[in-house]
Amino acid sequence: MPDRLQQQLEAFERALEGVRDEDSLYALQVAYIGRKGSISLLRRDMGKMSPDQRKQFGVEFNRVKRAIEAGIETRRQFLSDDARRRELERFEDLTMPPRRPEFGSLHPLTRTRRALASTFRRMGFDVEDGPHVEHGRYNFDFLNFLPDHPARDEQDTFFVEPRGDTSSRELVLRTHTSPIQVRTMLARTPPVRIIALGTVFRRDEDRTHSPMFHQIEGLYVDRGVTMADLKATLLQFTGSFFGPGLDVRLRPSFFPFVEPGAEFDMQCPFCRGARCVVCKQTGWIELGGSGMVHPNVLRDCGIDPAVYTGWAFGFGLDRMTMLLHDVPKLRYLFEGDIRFLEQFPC
Amino acid sequence: MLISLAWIQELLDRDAPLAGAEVDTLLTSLGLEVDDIKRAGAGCETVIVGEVRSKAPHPKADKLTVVQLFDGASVVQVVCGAPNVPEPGGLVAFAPVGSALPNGMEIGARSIRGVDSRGMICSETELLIGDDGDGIMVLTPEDVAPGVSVALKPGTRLVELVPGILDEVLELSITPNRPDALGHLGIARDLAVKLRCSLAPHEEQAPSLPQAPELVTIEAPARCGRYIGHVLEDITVRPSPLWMRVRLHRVGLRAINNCVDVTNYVLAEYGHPLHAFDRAKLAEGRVVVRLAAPGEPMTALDGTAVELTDEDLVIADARAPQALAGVMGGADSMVSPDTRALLLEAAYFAPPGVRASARRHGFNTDSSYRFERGVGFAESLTQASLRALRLLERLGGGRAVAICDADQRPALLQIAFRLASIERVLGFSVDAAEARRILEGLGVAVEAVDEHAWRCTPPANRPDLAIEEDLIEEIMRVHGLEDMPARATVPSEPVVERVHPAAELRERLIDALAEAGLREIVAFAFTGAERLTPFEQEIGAGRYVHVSNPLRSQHGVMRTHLLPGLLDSLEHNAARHARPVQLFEVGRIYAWPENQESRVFTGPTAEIDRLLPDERWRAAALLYGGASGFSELQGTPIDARAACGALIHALARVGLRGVVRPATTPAAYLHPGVQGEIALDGVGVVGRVGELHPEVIDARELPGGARVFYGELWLDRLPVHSVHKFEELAKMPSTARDVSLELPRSLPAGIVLSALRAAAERVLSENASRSPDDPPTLARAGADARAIEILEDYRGEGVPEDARALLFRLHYAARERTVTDTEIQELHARIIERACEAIRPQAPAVRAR
Repeated sequence: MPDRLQQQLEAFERALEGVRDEDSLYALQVAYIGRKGSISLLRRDMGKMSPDQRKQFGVEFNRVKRAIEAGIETRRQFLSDDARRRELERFEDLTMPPRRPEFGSLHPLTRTRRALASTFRRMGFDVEDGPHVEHGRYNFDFLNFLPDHPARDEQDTFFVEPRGDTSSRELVLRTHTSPIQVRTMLARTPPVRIIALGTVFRRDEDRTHSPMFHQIEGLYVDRGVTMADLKATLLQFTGSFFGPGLDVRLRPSFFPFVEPGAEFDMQCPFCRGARCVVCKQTGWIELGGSGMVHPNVLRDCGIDPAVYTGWAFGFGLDRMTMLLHDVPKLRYLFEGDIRFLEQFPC
Repeated sequence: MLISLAWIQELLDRDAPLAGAEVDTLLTSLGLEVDDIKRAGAGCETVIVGEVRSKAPHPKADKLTVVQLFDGASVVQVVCGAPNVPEPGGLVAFAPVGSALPNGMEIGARSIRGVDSRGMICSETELLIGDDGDGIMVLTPEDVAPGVSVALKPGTRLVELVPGILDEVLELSITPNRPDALGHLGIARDLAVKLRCSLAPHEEQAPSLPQAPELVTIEAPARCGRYIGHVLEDITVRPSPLWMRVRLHRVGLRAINNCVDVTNYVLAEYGHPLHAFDRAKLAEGRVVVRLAAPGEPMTALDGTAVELTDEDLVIADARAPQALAGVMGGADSMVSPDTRALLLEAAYFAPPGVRASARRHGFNTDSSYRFERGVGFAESLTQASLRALRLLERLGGGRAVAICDADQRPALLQIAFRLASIERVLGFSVDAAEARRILEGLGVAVEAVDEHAWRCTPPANRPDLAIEEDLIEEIMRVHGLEDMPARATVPSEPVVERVHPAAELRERLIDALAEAGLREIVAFAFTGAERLTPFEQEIGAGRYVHVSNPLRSQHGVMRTHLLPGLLDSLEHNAARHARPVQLFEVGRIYAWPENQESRVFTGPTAEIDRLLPDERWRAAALLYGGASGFSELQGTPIDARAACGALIHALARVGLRGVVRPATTPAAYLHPGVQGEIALDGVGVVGRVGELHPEVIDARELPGGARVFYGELWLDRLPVHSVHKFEELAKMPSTARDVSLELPRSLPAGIVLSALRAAAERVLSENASRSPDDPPTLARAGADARAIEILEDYRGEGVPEDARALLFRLHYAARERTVTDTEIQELHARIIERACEAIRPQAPAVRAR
């Protein structure tokens, strides 16, 4: 009997040499030491053996079984090491063009609009908009543009044909974002602290003018608001948008809806006042108009100018965008050339 | 407006000369914008006076004259081409050898057709001091500027006789609120206050003249507040002297004759338009300020025939209109060389009337420009009139013989001014004495009411000063903003930030579309009506919002669709390169509502909002594979399904699960077989998508056979800002069952999918009503949590030619338990059967494989 065990062991060892994968190894394991394996079957004959023989067989059986188990374990380890080794030999060329969805791009005006909106939101301003086709009353009358004053001419207004005779004769494409001021003041009570952002239209088209362009406007109405607060806000804005330390200067000017009115310039963010090409060697960038909200405007919007004062400022987004991105021509913003657009990935 | 620095200097009582750059800074700080500064006269310094000693015809040229000229030191020979060389003794402007003239000419000694010429006798045009190039300047003592003591004799430098030749000219943009600054005196007044000096004395004393009330009749006092008429006689009409011609030339005015030049000179100095009538041409020698009769004709002095209306104010003689008041004079009574007597008009016309007349007849004159903005009617008007009188006497030899001052001037405004208001508005205070100095310097009469308050009366030529804030602005302008502090105030009450969910949704959609590979454009909001025809099915031409005065016809209508703008960009790109073009825009469309009255508006702006057209937001995407056969990018084909993908992706980005369904109302601008509508559960249709109709493409400049794909979302239909409620997690895994259905290829998968969903919902709910204890339902278990998925679109062996086999997977689950194979087996079979029944009308041969 022990001989047969030994023969089985030798046969097992020969078979083990040829095992190349986990599945055959398992099959071999089952064939020898499984419940019905060849070794296990030899134990059935133990009943026919004498006690001595049985004892001797037992010792021999355990030895052979352990040897088989150890052989399988070793082989299993070898196979798994071998598989890992072969797996690690695999090579993939990751320098081939990567597989990914190609992103499109955001229009630079969108970027500027968002950057400005988030800057002013941090400063406690709500962002508002209104209709593009606006009534002359909100675009002009409420903003202290007198009905027959040449100040209206300066706006180069696009008029909109009214519908039938029921609607008013005085519809325009809004010439500035200021009607949003009016709408907001009509709808709210002070403190009013908003920026108005949006598309505006003027009847002017040349190298530096587009009949459609974009504006941002700030408005703050409350008790005790002064021109000094306007300057503080403009400084806070330029600092937050372009980096701290840029001076702001105000120059008297005229806009019908503010009194006093002033243009405001910002120290050139590119040369920080040292004079460069961008600021045309002046050290300053002319940004836009500003001033204290005209008492007539407050009154028309239901706000008592004896109690409240307010300031407003506004400037163009398109020029700001061109400045930020070094875009030389205004028309690039509106013609949709992908060679322009793709330079502003999202 | 052009401003001569020399002129300004003359009006200031101040010896130190002003440089252009300095004035630029000062004017800018005063709120008068300087656009440009130009030096004038450089090169004239070497030009001297020469005396003609003799003249003889050139031996070889008829048109040339050989002149012996005395230059103050010696006699030189000069060849001159002008026809008006004066007789011996005549004085001319002479540029000696070595001169470099303003027009670029360098003078050297040369031989002109065999005759030596050492220098040049100059005309105005060569020195850039006038427009008269027909002949050389012949100088007389009158040409010497007033106040100059240098004698006119050979050898004297021309610029010493007429200092205004050397000048700096500033171009100013005067804001419409400052009519007073439309003349040199107004600019000088601002500068004087800023520089703390005074104006040079310029006031004229009124001569005592006989009053002639019959001279002027004002029949329309509301339109004409004052009319000063002076009669001058013994006038000799002739060219103005050089000093005046130079000055007018420097500020861009053309010298005509002494009478017209004087009115222009006073216009440039006082900013006050005047008019000189030839009195002999006026019927009865008098004027009537009246409204025109409808249709009354007049010929303006530029030759325009004007048909007047009864809203036009005219200056008429006893018979007919002789001027359109404040706009332009008439040809009949204009000054001519024969004029001997003048009626000089200095008047105040109300701004709106002048503006309306100028617009009505298409005029924009120096005169109307000023009257529209509001000129003075008080002292400044009197002074302008007297100034013209004095100049006419000096230049034309005339004498004033009568005056009529028809004065019905409006009252001056009084403004209550509190000193504390300065700080209330500006945030810093200005010393009371300084504030008063500034206001008075600007001509405002200041009267103290008490320690804290003044009563201020602005001058008549400052119509912009009407309220306290206007005066504060004046103080601010002159005081300067340089020392203004920056002092932030804290809101008096908490300001609560308002959120705008619709705006946030738009921003996220913009991001999503850009992430989906599209490039954002910004297109014009207006387009041409013909561009919108393909979309009339959605918004008819009757609802178009028209722009009355577009810059070009292609901008005449507010867009009712975003596609035209995208196609414009596509055309632009296709004309320049062959690359794929994938674009999007999120923007507004405009249309009158179908029923204006049906719209509901609330809030304080409702009354206005009701009158406005609808503005709705759209997000639109356009995909084009490029001319040279780019059919795919990075392994993703550019086709209509890619357009679907971009839009469904965008919806997913804002938390919405969109599906594409067959279009219930197909769009005419899309290919009839390649289009669908985008829908949301519980909301309905929110957009459409497809391939552009070949006719839409043919109408554009695109490569032949181009396929363009388009999709859009109607943002006003998208639900905004919903908070998602949590659903408890399934405790047990779900069970999946597949079915392969053999279907006609033309049947959209979306229809089968909805049929399966409807069938499943019916069968499962029927089952639930029978066994209410935790019945199986559809489970969110597939990829992207879908209960029913499409796994495969099989075409080929085993499936008929015109059919395809779609493999669907349905996921089932119960709340608390694992569903058993047997219960699902039966339910699944019934679901498939129901679904097949539902689609059988469209697919008679449908069968489960």
